[in-house]
Amino acid sequence: MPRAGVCSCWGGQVLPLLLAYICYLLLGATIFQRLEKQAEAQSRDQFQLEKLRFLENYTCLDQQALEQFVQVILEAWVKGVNPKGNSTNPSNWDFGSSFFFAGTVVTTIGYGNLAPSTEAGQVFCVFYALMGIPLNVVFLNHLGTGLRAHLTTLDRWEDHPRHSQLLQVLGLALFLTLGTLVILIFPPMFFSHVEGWSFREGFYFAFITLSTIGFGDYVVGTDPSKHYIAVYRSLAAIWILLGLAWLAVVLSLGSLLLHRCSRLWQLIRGLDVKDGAAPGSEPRSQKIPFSA
Amino acid sequence: MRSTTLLALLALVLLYLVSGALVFQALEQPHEQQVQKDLEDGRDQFLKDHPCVSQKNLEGFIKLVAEALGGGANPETSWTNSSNHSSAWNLGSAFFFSGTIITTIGYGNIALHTDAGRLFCIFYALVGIPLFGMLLAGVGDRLGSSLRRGIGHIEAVFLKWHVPPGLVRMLSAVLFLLIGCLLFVLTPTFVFSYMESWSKLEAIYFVIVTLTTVGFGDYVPGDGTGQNSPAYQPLVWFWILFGLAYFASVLTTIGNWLRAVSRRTRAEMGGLTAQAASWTGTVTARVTQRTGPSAPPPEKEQPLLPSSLPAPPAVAEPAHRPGSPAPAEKVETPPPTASALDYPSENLAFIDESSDTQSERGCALPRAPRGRRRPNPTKKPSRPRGPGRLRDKAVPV
Repeated sequence: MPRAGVCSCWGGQVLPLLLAYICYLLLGATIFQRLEKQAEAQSRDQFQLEKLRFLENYTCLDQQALEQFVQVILEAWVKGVNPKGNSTNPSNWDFGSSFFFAGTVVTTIGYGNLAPSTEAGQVFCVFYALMGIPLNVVFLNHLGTGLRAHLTTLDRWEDHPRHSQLLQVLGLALFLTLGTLVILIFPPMFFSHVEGWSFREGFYFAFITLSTIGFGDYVVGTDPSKHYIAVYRSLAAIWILLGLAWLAVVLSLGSLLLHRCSRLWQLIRGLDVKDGAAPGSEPRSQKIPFSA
Repeated sequence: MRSTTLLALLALVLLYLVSGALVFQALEQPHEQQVQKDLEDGRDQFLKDHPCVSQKNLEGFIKLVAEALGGGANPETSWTNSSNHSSAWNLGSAFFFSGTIITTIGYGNIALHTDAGRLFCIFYALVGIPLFGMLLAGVGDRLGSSLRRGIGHIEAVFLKWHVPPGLVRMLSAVLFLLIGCLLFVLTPTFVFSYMESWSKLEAIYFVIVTLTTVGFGDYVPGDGTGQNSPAYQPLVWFWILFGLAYFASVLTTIGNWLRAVSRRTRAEMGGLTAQAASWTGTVTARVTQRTGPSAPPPEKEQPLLPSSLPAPPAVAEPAHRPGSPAPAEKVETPPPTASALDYPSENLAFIDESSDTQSERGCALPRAPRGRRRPNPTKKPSRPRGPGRLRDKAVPV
C-alpha cells in the first residue's frame, strides 16, 4: 500500500509540472511572437528597399551579381568574421578572445557569436566542456561557501536577543544591497559606457549573461570600430565568475529564509494541534509509520 | 584548509581556462584568417567586375547587410519571393525560442530587438528557469528510478556469477553511462544527421553543446529546409528535456570523480608510507563504492545543473561532508569513515522521497510529523530547494 502510494504520488507530481511547463512555453511563444514578429518584418522590408535603391543607383550591377556578393558576406558572417572593416580587424581567436570564449564554454553561457568552425575545434570543445563544466560547478560552490562563511552568524538568529537579531537583519540587507550594486548595477553602467549601449541594453546583457542563457546578440568587446584595452575582456570574465558565485549565495540565503518561514509555520500549526486534545492523539499515532 | 582548497580550485580553473584558450586559438585562428582573406578577395573581385560601384558605397552596402544579419532578417531572399520567406517568429519558432530561454541554452540564432521583448524576457526567465528546474527534478527521479531498476537486474545476474561487489558497482556505473549515451547522445546524433544533413561530427557536436546548455547556435535544428514535419520541433523538445536530466547526472558524476581524485591525492601526500598504503586501499574501495551509489544521488541534483546558478548550493552538501571525515581518517579507523560518507546520501534520498510523498497528499495529518524530522541538521538543506528557487531568482532584480 505505501509503496503504491509513493509511486502514484511521483507520477502525480511529474504530470502537473509537465503541464505547467508546456503551458509556460506556449505562453512565452505567443508573447514573443507578438512582440518580435512586427519588428522583424519591418527590418526585412527596410533591407529590401535599401537593396533596390542600391541597384537603381548603379546600373552596371544586375540582381544575380548582387545576390552572389550577399552570399559571400553571409558565409563570412556565419564563420564569425565581421564583414565590416577590413583585415586590420582584431582577430576573434587571439588569446584574450579565446580565453573569454573558454570561459563562456565552462560556465555554459555560450554566446554563439563565436563558435569553433574546424572539426578539431569542435571535437576539442566537446571534451573540454564535459570536463570543464563540472570543474566550474565545484569551484563556484567553494567560492560561494567562502562568501557564505561571513554570514554564518545568520544561523544563530533565534539564539540572540532582539537587538542582535536586528543587527543581523541589517547586515543581511547591506550584503544584498552591496551585492546588487557591485554585480547588477555598476557593471551594466560600465558596459553601457564602454560599448555605447543604453543602460537597458547593458542590464539586458548582464541578465542574459549571469543567467547563462547567453543569446550573443550583445557581447562585450566585439565592436571593430572600438579599441579595447587588453584586460577589458578579462575583467568581464572576472565579473562573470564573481556574479555567478554571488547569485549562488543569494540562492542559498533564499533557501535558508524559506526554511525558517516554513519552520515558523510548523510551530504555529503545532500550537493549533496542541489546543485540541482529542484530534491531537490521532496525528500522534499516525506519526510513527511516516517516520519509519 | 578551506581557503587552501579554494585557492587550489581557483588556480585549477584558471589553468584550465588558459590551456583551453591556447588550444582554441591554435585550432581556430588559421581558419578565421583564411575566411577573412576569402571575404576580401570576394570584395576585390566584385569591385573589379563592376567598376561603377565605388569603394565607399560598397562599404556602406556591406554594413547594411551586416546590420540586416544582426537584426535576424535573411538577406539572401530577394524581393520577388519575400512573401514566401518563413518568419523567424512564427509560433513554432517562438515556442522553440521560449524553450531555449528557460533551459538557459540560448542559441541566439534569433534575437530580441524590441525593448518590450527584452523586458518580458527577463521576467519570463526569472520565473521559467526555476519552473523548469522543478520539472527536471521530477523527470530525473522517474528516469533515474527506471535506469536503476534495469541495472539492478543486471547486478543480480553478476552477483549470481560471484563477481566481487566492488566490481559490480563499477560495472553498474559504466552501464548507466553506456545506456544513457546510447539513448540520449548516439541515437539523436543519427537522427539529426539524417534530418538536418549534418555530418556525424556536426551532429554529436550539436548534441553535446545543447545538452550541456552551452548553446552556441551555430547549429540549430529546424533552421535548414522547411520540409520538416510539424511534430519535429516538439520531439526535439522532449529529447532536450530527458537529455538534460541525464546529462545533469553525468556532469554530477564527473564532478564526484574529480572530488574523489582530489581526496585520494591529499591522502597519499599526507600520510606515511604504511599509512598511505592503507589509506590508498581505503580510498580505492570508497571510490569503487561511490561509483555504485553515485548513480542514484545525482538524480536528486539533476535540476540544479541545467541552470548552473543553483548548482553550487547543492554541491555544497557533499563538499562539506568530505571535509569533516578528512581529519577522521588520521585519527580513527577507515570503516567508520566510509560508512559516514555513504550514510548522508542515502539519508538525503529518503528525505526527498518522504517530503515528496507528504507534499503530494496535502492533508494535515502527514504534515505534522515534519516537525520531528526538522531537528536533524542533515535534513534541512534538501527541503527548501524547490520553492527556494522561485524567490531566489527574484532577489537580484
